Amino acid sequence: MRVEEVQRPVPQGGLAALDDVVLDARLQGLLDARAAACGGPRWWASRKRAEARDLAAMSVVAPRFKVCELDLRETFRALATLRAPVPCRPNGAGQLRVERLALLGITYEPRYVFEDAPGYAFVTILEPAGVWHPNVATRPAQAVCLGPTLPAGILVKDLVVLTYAALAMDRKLVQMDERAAAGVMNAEAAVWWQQHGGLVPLTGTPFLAPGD
Amino acid sequence: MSPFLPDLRARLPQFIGARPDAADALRALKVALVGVGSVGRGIAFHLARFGGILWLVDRGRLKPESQLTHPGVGPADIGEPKASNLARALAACGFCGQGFAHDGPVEELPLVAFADAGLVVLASDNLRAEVEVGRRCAQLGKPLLQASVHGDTLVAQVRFFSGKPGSPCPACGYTKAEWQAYRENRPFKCEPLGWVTPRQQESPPPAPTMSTSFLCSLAADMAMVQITRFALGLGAPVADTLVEYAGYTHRTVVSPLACKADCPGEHLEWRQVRLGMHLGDTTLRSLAATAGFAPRSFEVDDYTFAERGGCGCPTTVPLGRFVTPGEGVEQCAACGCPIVGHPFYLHRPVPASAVEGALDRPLSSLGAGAARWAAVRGDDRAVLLFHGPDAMACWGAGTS
Repeated sequence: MRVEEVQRPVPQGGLAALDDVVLDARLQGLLDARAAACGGPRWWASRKRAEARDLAAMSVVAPRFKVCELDLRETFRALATLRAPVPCRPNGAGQLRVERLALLGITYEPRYVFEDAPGYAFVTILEPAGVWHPNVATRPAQAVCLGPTLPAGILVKDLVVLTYAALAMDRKLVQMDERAAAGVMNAEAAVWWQQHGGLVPLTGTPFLAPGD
Repeated sequence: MSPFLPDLRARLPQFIGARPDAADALRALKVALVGVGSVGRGIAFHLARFGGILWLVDRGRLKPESQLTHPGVGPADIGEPKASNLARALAACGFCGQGFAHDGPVEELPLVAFADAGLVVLASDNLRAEVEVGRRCAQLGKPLLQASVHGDTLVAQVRFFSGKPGSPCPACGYTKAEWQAYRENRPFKCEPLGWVTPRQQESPPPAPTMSTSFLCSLAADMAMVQITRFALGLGAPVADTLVEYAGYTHRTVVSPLACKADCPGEHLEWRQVRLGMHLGDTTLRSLAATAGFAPRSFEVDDYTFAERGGCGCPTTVPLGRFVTPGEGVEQCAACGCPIVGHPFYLHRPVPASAVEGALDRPLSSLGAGAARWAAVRGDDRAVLLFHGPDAMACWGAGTS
């Protein structure tokens, strides 16, 4: 049997050139169907369609990302899977469990186009349960904090890349100092990760690269 | 009408082209005044002499420096909230038919708080308040006058927005720099843990507007000219115009204000319907029927619709009701923790297709029994429904 690696057509401009990516029939169909129900003021409807198009194109070029569902009716909402190391609560022996796939719920309120947003305002990990990460809340939902504040108008594709970096425990992004507080959503996990710094990062594979 | 104030007609001129009942028209003015600092306080003292109804809103307190620019503020007033201090000052002078005060940000007031106002006056240097008031006036179809100063250039400015569909709002004229200032207005904290961020601790207090009492007073007087012309229909219409006086050149410029195509404001006037019953006793279906068109979405006061909730357990549970932020609606049988709306399943506004199963239940049984207003939106129209007494309850008894 001959195994052929699927080549994903990453545009030369990378994630900055998602407009050039041709969508497959499934993604185009999803986009068209959801765009038909797109509501809100004109500027917000346009913005939502553009963000949805970006996520769909990202699904084509990023081997680890797949958009499953979109909701453009009012608040922008997307359901997507992200292949990334997902640290989960250590077992009784203190051994970290690492899952390989996260189901993300992404929401984007229109006011954050013009206002800086708190870092936890956008992304929630719906699955797996029991995520063990300094910047992921445990209750009532696994909200991911991507920084003390995120700039107004941040793009959804950037939120996805930031989420990948957070899950990968990228030292530049993850806030582990529970005393600094900004960004720390799980102080217990923050202390644990300080004591297990040798595990960081969980991966160094770039977002667009295959593997992991 | 104030029993202490002489009849307005004792000094009211025979304005050229004015209607014969000018005094009655001025006395009938009902004005909501947002921002009662150096400029707004001056406007309030003038408006109160007409004897109408005033609603005063300000989030600030009087500081020692306020004595430099705020009319009628003395050492005894320092530390008091600006709005209620002004309401008391007006009552003490025997001015004003009736006055109501809200000591807090305008955003705290329900959308319908200005439903009875005939004119909204904005004299705030807070950009968030400007955008919010502009949005509300556009939705309620209320005319909005904005008065401001630029101290360094001795400029006083008055903008009058008609509030008619397609008319501009304050945000239409924002430059990139103003949007940047708008962005940086508010520090954030990581609310789920309730910790204050280092950035918030280090944030310097916002810089005050630098001006002089005479320039602020000039802006207030210019605002009154426009208000009087608007109320009595004097001269050319003031709607959607900007009047600017430059002290260095003694030149006054009047220019039209235009709606910007890419303004983030919705610029959609909501038809208003006063209900004869509390919102809590109505259903979403009956609200849609009153609106008279197929709804695209619903908005119910400050409530958010939670499709599902969570507590930290691995699975979420269906809620299908309205919640307030962080409100625990039930207790998890497994972990005993309160179940709150899951952030991914929260909707505000809520699409009509997301509430199909809840259309026939009274709002009170959907967690929104205390709702003061609701909005039904279609693709190109919206209807605001409210129960008058509930809407105005936010103002309390007021002063007379």
